[in-house]
Amino acid sequence: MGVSYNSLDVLKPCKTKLNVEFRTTGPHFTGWYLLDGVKWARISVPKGAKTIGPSLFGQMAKELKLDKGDFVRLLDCPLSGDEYLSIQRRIRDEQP
Amino acid sequence: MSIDALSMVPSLSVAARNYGLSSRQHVSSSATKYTSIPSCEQSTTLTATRYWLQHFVAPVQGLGNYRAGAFDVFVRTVDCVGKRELCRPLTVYVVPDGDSFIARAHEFEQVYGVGDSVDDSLEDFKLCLLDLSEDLSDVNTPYSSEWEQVRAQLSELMGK
Repeated sequence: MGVSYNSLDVLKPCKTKLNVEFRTTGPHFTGWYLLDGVKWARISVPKGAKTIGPSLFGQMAKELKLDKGDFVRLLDCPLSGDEYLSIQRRIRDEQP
Repeated sequence: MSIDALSMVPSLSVAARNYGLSSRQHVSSSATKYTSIPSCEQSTTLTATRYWLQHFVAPVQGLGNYRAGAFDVFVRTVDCVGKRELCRPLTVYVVPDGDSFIARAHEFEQVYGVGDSVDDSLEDFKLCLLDLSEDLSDVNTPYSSEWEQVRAQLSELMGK
């Protein structure tokens, strides 16, 4: 992981691109991504501004059902909300 | 001195290095040091093993807050979260992650805890498990089948 990210780097695109509303009362910021009205992915972001370690980075990508490459694209801007939606619909439709 | 005793020195040196100790400082590989092993002349490998283990363990215990290596895994068992006792113990794995530690359980991949130490990350894990349990009690919006499964598993674990 060449570039390092912190919690704010994750919160911001999740809010703006994926319309995730974060709950602030728990130990972490947590929010749901709704796929066609169904609670589909739950992301949990630690509070504080510490740099996200590689394992945590992978964990967050997994929570959003993205591989690390797409997660980086989500954080760094190229991956739009619509593209994320189409990825998630594809994952859902491929499920047995 | 048994020749077998010599063969264990490199592995102890590696172990010492993993815990941030200088291998030279705590596990000497010099032949002269062997002569100082008590009753080494008539001893077996076992005596030498005990000797080296005692000399290795003592400084590690004294360190208290050693620097964890990248591949260390700390296994902990969680019996209760908050005031709620779990139906069965949950095994949690804590690993170093950059400047922090991350705690996870294979049974609930959706939950993790982070912290500056193994214990901090474990406490965070417990809080997050409880938080997820509360989060999933909201039934105003439908859940995907994956989350329905998690909810059922968690309810069973929490004895709800």
